[in-house]
Amino acid sequence: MYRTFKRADGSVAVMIFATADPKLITRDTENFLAGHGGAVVVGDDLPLPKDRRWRNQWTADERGVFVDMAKARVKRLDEIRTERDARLDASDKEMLRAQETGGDTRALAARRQKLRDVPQVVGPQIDRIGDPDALAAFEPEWGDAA
Amino acid sequence: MRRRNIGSVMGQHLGFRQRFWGWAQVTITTGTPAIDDSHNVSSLTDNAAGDITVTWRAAARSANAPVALLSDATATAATRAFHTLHAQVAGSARCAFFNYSAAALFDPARFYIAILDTY
Repeated sequence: MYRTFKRADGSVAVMIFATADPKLITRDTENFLAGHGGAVVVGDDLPLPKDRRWRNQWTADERGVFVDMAKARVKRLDEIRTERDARLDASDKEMLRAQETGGDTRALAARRQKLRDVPQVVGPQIDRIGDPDALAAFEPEWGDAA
Repeated sequence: MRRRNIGSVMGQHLGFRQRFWGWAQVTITTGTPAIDDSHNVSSLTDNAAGDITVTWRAAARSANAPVALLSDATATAATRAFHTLHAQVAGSARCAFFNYSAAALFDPARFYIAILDTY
């Protein structure tokens, strides 16, 4: 048996019981509620997302636990920014080399600008995604060689 | 049989003055963690990704009782990971699993926790 809690900030905790003793279940439940002001019990054995890709973006109501798509979109955009930054860092050396050797810096600069623009470009696309799996699978067109 | 073996081995090494007060093996593959096997555990709380509290059925006699925590990160590709006890009281231990590479908490594929106590 497991019990789902919703904290005051909207985040979700799930307590999995290794006992059927009602006294221990009550004790652990009360301890959790005492340690998390404003938390409430949402229900027992509620349906859960099938994986934990968006674990920190879960929310819950009496129907079950599901992914808060607004939070998940923010998270995916953060992941894309992190990936974009890594690709920009990787292209730094390429730019330096092109400058030293008289290579084509204009094409490289254009690629780097395209990378910088990725979050703005994909933001509206991400806003239209309504399914957690589709959001997890979404990849921008990076437009670089990395 | 398994519990007796562990207790017996520990007893030999520690002169029968300490034993595992409680232990658990936990797998995290699907929506919520699964307790594969345990002793003296009443519940496991999935607080967030990489943040799990183990609550003992009977509290240890000391809030400073030694706790051992091991994790298996292979299935999650956490290349530089470590685990730590985030908070410990006599009745529970809160475990955090950190992935250096991603600079974030992550779910290990499996973890093992054991608490020692004197008797």
